[in-house]
Amino acid sequence: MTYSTLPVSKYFSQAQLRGLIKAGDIMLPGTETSPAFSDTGCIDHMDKMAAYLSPDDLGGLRLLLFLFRWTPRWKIRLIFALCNRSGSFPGPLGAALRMLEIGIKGAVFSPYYANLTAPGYTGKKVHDAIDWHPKLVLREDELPEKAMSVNLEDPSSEDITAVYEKARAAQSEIRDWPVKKRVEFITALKAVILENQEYILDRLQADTGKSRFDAITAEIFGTLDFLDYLEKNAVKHLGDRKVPTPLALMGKSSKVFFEPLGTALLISPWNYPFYQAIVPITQAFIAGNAVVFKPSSATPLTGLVEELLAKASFKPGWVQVVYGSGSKVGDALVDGKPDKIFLIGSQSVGKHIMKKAAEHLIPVELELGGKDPMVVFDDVNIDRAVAGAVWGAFTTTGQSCTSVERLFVHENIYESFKETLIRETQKLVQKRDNDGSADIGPMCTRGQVEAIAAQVADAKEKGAVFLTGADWDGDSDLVPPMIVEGVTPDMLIDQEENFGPLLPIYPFSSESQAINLANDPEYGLSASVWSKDLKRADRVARAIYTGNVSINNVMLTEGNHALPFGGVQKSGFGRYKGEFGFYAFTNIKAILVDKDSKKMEANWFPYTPKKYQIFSDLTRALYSPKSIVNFVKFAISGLKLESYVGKLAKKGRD
Amino acid sequence: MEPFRIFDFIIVGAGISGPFIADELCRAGADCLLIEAGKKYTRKTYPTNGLDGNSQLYWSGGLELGHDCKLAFLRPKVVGGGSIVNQALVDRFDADAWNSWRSQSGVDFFNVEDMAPWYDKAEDAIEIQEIPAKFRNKNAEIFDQGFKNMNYQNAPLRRAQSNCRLEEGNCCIECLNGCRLGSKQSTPETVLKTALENGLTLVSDTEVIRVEDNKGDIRVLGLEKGGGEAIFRGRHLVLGGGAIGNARLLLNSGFGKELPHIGKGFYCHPQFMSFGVYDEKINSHTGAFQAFKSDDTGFRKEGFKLENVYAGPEAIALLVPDFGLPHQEAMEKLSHFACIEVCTRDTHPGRIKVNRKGKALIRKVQNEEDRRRQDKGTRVIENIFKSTNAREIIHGRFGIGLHLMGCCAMGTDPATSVVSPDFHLHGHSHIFAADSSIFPNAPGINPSLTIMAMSKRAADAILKQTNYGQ
Repeated sequence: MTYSTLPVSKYFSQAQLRGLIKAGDIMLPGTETSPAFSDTGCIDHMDKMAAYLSPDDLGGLRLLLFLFRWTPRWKIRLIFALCNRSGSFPGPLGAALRMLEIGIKGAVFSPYYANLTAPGYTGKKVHDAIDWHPKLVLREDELPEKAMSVNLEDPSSEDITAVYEKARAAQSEIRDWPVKKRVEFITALKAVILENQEYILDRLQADTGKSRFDAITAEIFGTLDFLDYLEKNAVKHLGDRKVPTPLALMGKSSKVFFEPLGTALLISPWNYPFYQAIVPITQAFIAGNAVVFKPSSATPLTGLVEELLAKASFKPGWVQVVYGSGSKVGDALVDGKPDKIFLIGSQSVGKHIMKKAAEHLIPVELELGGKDPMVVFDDVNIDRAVAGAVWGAFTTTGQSCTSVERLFVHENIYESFKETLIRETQKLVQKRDNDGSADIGPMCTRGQVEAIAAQVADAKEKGAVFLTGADWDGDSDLVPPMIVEGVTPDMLIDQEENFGPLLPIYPFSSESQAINLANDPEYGLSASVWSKDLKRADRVARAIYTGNVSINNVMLTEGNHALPFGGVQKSGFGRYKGEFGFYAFTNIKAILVDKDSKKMEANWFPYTPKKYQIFSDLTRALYSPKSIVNFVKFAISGLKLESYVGKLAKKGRD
Repeated sequence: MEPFRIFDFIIVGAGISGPFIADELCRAGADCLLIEAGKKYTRKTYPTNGLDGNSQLYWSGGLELGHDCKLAFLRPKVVGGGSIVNQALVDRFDADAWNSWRSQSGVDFFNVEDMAPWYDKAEDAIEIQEIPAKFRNKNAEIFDQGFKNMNYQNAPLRRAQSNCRLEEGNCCIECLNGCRLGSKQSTPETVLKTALENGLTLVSDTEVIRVEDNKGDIRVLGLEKGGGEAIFRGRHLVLGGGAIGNARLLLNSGFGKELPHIGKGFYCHPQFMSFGVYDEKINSHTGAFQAFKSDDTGFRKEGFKLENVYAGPEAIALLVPDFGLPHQEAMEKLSHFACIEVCTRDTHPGRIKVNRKGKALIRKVQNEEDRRRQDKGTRVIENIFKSTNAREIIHGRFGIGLHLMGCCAMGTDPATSVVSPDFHLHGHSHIFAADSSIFPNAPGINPSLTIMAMSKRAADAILKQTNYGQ
């Protein structure tokens, strides 16, 4: 894993950190035995020092570092040489040079000689170079209270309690930061992911088996695109917002704060283990939440997320990854009482978690499975629609919650569509690859192979016709893409979500029939509608009860991170991503600001018949149809009310 | 804090004096509140690296600079104050120190005999040990050898410690960020512990920014860590914020007009470290590095003393001259460094002022005499290093002030002092002080034991004047 990006600091801008590195390397260029300043990554620890500097000192240091950033090296060397001779300069100049010397030496030497390094640093140690190894023999009960040693690989309920304690402590650190500061961490994470792309892809393929091309498009590109969206939009959507204050509340102002909820528990599935890790984690983090993340035990990518986050300067408590099967750790994680639970997974897990969360009244957001329809009318370009269907049904070997599971084709083009579909499907290259040459990889888990095998056997027994992949042995994890005709409602394949390369195809003869077929009684995650007639497509898109619809494309609402994502019915509820996604992890707090004064409010006590009368006049004037007369009436009763309230405050009830 | 609670005593600053006085007052049954700007650490939570230690245990993240940046000041900000971060040297003042104080202040009890019982009491409150000869490290041996070579007198050091378990190879350098062995006799390990057992209320992480004396209704305004303000009420106030802390607080609270001497008479025993570089490894950071002190009547007359101190690499790097490769190559020989510092008894008073933002400004220069003392001591150090075959001598880049004294001097005359011989502010019978801020001048001897003794004496005087525990 490589790392050349700068850390993100709460107190220093990237330019200031560059200035520090520049000055640091002039002061400590490194020798055969000593590392150079920048090599150690000790600037990762600058915030520990900055947190305790006085505002004046910190301001001075920031300015100095900023200037160093834009000062040529030879000039910095010259300044340092002058510092060495500060004694020969009189009064204020000598003092300024000495202050500069002590300031920059303090900033550079403190982290360096304290032997601090970046996470994962394996180079020369400063304390070895200067042979500094003081000894202190501590008894067992004298050991420092380090970061609690918590078992995250196979956690007990005590471990999980410790995880939440750490999360809550860490959250107090980030909650009050301006969104802008948190965005800097997103920027850093983006750079780290980009830099380690191939390494991440290796890890992803090792855990999921998916084709490298699937992995790079859906998991790397998709993740980076989402981070890019956060970078550009978080401040806009999470910044304090002013809202209008009505005339009746004259003199006051109103605003909305978008605050974090606290600690978010995120549970992700095995099919997109990287994308479904980074996206919810950053969505929750950007709003200021600490995160407890549980990946699927089938594709845990053990250590990867933590490693990348650490490289991007995320501190350990901000995001903690807890491993283990849901059945083992799920309940304990909910019992840790996170402030929000966000689950991407199956219906059965969703139900269980929601029930469990209800005990603590924890808000949940569920992104569950779908049985997504693709509706193709007879006016389409068949080649394009077929290519869309093949990709939508078989990408990631059909293991997407939004993959096409039911294909409805207008009877006018049914036969030629089917023929093309079979032909194109047979062209797919399926194998294990590491170079991007495979269209489809193997299935991700053995359990999934078995589930597909059961659906296939049931369908074959009940008379379904397999137009492709009929020769699959029901055991190999290279499950071939299967186009199935003659599927009837009594078949498992028609009833259950299928998480594999199975594509049932059905004909339809009218728009209303297509809508009826597309509207699944249980699910409603996404759908696609294909027609040259965009009015028709729009009509059908509105009529399908679902969360996301792509028109003349497939699975593409997810391709735009400004769009929300989420389902209806048993596909779950809540929205993440896009503007609305920011609110998923946010306490939207209403603030009304009035000034301190002598003034009393008209709606406060005491109530009197006279006040009642004026207030009633005012109400009528304000909410009657707008006219100059009514406005004047409103103004008069407003003034009357104010002077009467003032009188009441002074003299009391009449 | 419960609203409307009124304490008998509010003590500001939990360094050495505050806890010593609190201990006595609580023992007498008074209801006391001790407020400290720094954090309360335990043996298990002390910082474990130099960066954390410097930034978390001192004001301004480590160093404060005087106006001409020739001296840097170390001002602890932690529950336990100097007793957490010092080298725990405990020495009584000699007749010379007391006489000088007495003649400057007019305070009669400033003499060896009158203070002796209070020193006894202070020494009873802590454990004091000498470093056994077998645990002296090489730095100490060089110090001793050099003294012998040059016919100077030295003496084994007395330290406030109980059990450093040196036989296990422990290195005292580690306890400059707080002693994790619980050996150093810091106030949290000693008097603060008993005071808390006797009902003391301790509020840490709260910086007192203003005090108000309404004759028996003391209001103390604190600034909490999160930036909020907290109000505390008491019948009496004891100031234990040290020279800079007390001066700053009183000046910011408007006492300056009435007591014009506040902030004047600031002393700090400027200390200058020099390093001798030897061919062989000295490993000054190992074991009990500071085992001797100079005990030479000649040095005392000249106004300086020598100590074989040491410091962490972050601090030494600040003192080692130059940048770039020469600096790094010098630091790579760190294990070949021996270290001696000259600690001068400064004669020229400095002054603490506050700016409009209430920040303390330190104005402290060495006059010709003070520089002469420094130079004299430095020459002696050079002789010691040379006589022990040092290959090279490196003088530190700047001086350090860490015995911060004066600014609220005790004296009989309100025009030239701040605190009366009864330990209360002139004209304020409800406000007391007994810490290093009341020192009339620089004694030239480590101040902590005397702060303890004075605090014991002050507590007795305070109890008598305020009729507690009768």
